[in-house]
Amino acid sequence: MAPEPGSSSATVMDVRALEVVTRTGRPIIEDVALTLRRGEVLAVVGESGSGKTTTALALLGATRGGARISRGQVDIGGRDIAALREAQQRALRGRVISYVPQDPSTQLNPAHRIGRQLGEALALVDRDDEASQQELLTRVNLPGEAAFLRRYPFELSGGQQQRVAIAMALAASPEIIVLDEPTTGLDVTTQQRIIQLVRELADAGEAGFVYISHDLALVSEVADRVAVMFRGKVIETGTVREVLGAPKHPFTRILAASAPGPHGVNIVANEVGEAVDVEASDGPAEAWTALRVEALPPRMPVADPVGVLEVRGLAVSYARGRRARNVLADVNLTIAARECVGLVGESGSGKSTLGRTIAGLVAPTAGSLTWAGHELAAQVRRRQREQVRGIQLVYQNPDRSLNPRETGFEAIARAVRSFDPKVGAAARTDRVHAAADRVRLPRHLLGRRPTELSGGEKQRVAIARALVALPELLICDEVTSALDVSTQATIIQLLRELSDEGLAILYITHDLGAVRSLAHRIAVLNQGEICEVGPCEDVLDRPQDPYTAELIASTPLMRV
Amino acid sequence: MARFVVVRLLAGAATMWAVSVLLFFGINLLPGDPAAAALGSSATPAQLAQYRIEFGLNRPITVRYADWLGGVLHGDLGRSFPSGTPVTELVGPRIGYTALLALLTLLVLVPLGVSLGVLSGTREGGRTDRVTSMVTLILAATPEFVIAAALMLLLAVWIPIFPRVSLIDTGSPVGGQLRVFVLPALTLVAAGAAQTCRMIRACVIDVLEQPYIAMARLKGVPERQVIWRHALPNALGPTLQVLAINLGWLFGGVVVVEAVFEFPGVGRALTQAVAERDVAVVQSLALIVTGVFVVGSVVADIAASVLNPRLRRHL
Repeated sequence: MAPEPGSSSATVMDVRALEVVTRTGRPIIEDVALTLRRGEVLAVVGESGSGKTTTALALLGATRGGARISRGQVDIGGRDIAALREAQQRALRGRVISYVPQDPSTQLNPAHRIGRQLGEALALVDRDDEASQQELLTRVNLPGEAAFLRRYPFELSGGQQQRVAIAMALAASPEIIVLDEPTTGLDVTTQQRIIQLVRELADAGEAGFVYISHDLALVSEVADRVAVMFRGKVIETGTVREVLGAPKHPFTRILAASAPGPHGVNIVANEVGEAVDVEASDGPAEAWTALRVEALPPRMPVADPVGVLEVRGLAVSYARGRRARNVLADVNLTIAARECVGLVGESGSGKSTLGRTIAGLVAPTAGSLTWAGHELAAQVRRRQREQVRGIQLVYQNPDRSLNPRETGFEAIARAVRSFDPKVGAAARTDRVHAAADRVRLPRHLLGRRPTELSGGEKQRVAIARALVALPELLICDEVTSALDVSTQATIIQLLRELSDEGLAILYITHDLGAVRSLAHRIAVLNQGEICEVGPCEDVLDRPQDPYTAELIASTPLMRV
Repeated sequence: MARFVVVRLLAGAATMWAVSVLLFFGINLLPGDPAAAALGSSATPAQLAQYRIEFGLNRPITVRYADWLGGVLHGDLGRSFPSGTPVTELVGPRIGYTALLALLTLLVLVPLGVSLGVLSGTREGGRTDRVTSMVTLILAATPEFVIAAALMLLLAVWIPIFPRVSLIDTGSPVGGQLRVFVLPALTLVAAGAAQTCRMIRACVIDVLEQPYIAMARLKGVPERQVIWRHALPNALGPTLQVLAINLGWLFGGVVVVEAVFEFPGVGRALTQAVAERDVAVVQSLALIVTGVFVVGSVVADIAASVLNPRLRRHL
């Protein structure tokens, strides 16, 4: 449908002086003001903890974990949803304002078929029939077939689930659709298709979109206007060109300049050139003006590579018999001493499985692993102690890999004890402190539990825990994916330092920019097979394989 | 799916077989001579030998096991040692009474426990939840015989509307004597509903914390529909397991309540048979009680997998 003249500029949402406080009365967001017009995509950006999701939910009159809307108005559909009772709010949800969550895999009811979930949303406007359900699917570029409607959420891919969530949000033709980090956790190629869909729907005048994101490059591709949030407040609002092209607030300037892209990672550095973790720094905003952004230069391949890990003809399949699924097929890869190899690919390409197989956590169905000239047993418990020590693994999400009841010190000390049981208490403390220093984790943070640390600090604890084993090879499985942009950059800089000191690293990621700034060589994994290996510059600038080329083309680029 | 059902049924059968082995050999290895127990201390060695031949006790234990198992599979539970009466005749009516009592109890317990559990689970922390939690905690902590005695005092002594003891006239049809089932059934409801309610409350709270429930609310689905369509089907699987455990408990674990009301059920028959060294009755009853338990949990497992589309598609 084409936008009617005039309707595209109609204001559909007006938020004024919105405040949400915790149960104890501490504000999470303060004085938030936003306006949204039909046919427009308004991006709300900021780092984690800046109040983006709290704002998104408050637009629907909702809050989490005992928080409440304490002040302000959210005018939609001619009413202030913040002032309404729960039942009246719910009457507006879906019909006037709808919501698309971050992780559709947990947000779609696992026991309901797709058709039923769409039907429930269509029922809000009494259009719950199969033809309407099918039509809705075609609007989000999904097959509008009866068979698709009979599927369950777990039978869809992540991208399809997110399309279904968007279809649900569109069902009752609302004026406003709030998308909360809708592509975080999806592959770049899937992400590209989702943002195209959002742009098409907005251009067709279907609704106004509020697009919550931490990714400025992505936002520059999809949004018309941007609101930047920082510590619970909107610090800057304007068109994409105004805000990202000529940022006024020092934080926006840093955020815009440090946005990663396929060209590599940018470091936010202070006067003395140290990388700064924006999330963890809590000084006054004025201090930001002194910060500058530096691109990490690419790295030269290792001179005289000596293979330390050899992967030959490796294959892994899950399940047996009819349901057998090959995850890896005939993978050959060499990692030299002191070398950092980036392993990239989409989710489901088998890159995590490869890392886990090398660590001995997954048994291969064929092939061999050679470590420092000796055959490596498939299972970690069959390996010699010395081999186990030499290969360490760090996981993506430190919230899950760290025991919430253990302080950083305890977690690291336990690793010391397990690799060196005879070490005395004093020597153990020294080893823990040395590891903390090596990952630049201030020693006074060692006494804190994971909940009292920022994302970057937690990941440093996880890396320190791996480093006390004094490994020769560190496998990093998406260690920066769950972190904010500036935090990612600090961790990547840390890994570069470790790499310069002689640690071999297998860096598993879907982030091509991170690989360019960190790895000496890159291996691209496509559906369980390595389709391209080579020095970073060659592969990223002159890809030989069409799949690599598509991956690079799908990575969002800052466009202002 | 079909494969899962078959595997689960086979596993149930294997459990039953293992139980039969443990029961038979365990009971027969216990000290005490059934012949001496049946004939009394005045029996002569010749009489004892004669008794053992008559009941086949002189044969090797493996042969006796095979014989017993073969009989069980054909519905013949053997003969009671002291009297020689067929076991089926002895335990048949007991099982019938217990089954009827369990049925009556479940008819009240299931709707009550589930609705109270859902009610307090959906109002976690509210007044209804606090009151229900307190009452069910007290009931769950109170020994069954105390509840039984209290009910008896209230409904049989002070307000004499139900008989104090549950004597059943075997001559007339049970249907006309349902009044004697009321007090034992009420006692079991009070004891069982408390635990059922608490477990179902926990299931409901767990499901309500899932992101898809928050999503349903943000989608504009009315709260009633959120509870009934989104939450409950997902809470039903664990609930069925709770009910299966209840069934097993009602069939074999209510000796105390039976004793208080002198109810002629399986539990008392079992304790009596143990006291009399009536090995045939003990192993038959124990096997039947286990059987009810195993069948209950197999049915609950299969039902839960039918309710869970992921299991249904992948199994």
